Amino acid sequence: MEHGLATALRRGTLEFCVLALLENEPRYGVELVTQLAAQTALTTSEGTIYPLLSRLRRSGWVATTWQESPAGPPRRYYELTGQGKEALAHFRSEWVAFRTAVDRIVGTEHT
Amino acid sequence: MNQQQADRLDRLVEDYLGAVSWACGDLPPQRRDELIEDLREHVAAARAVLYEPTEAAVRTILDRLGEPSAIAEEARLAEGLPVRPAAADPAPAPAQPPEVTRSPSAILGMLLGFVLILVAILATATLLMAGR
Repeated sequence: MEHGLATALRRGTLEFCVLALLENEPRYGVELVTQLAAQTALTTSEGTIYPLLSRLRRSGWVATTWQESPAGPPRRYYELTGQGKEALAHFRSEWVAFRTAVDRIVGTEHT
Repeated sequence: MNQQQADRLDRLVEDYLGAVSWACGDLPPQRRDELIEDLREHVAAARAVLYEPTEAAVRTILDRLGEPSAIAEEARLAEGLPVRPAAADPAPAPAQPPEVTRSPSAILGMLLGFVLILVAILATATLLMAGR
């Protein structure tokens, strides 16, 4: 059940964490995935983030470009598109309202 | 690192990717291939910055990517597929149009109704005739 709860909470929020990480600068896959996976509440492992990145590419919220790497093969960099920025702004306002409502009802306002 | 060692590490990576691909058997082939390519790139980029490309270091990269089944589960979620499909789930039987069957009692009821209507018409006609 714990596993199911964490999955349910991640669903619908993790993608916006990805958008937020890309807000100020493009990042390449390994960099992005390592940063997200460091937050253990958000992900189970680094590999589980790739299906999400694929979906974000298809939705047009992120765009990718290949760039030469100082070491090893070229890297695919992810950056936020205009649509992605709008989606993130929309999520921010929705999230605040959502969080406030849940906190109030569940009794976690001051925790 | 000699060629033999490098080959062994490559095989380690390919075995892992093969396991992910197998776990993603129910994904559309295009999605599955895309995912495997993303993971292959990840491993290549992570290997490129290793201080020492030992087997332990490569295993750590793969461990951090996680269990193939967990990645497959996330891929199904992203595709909107059921999270845990039963592996031995039989294909659903083709839908058949519902057969129109009438039980004997239904046929009897219809006959009785028909007879009653006939009787009513006859009775009305008789009454009208008698009324003249």
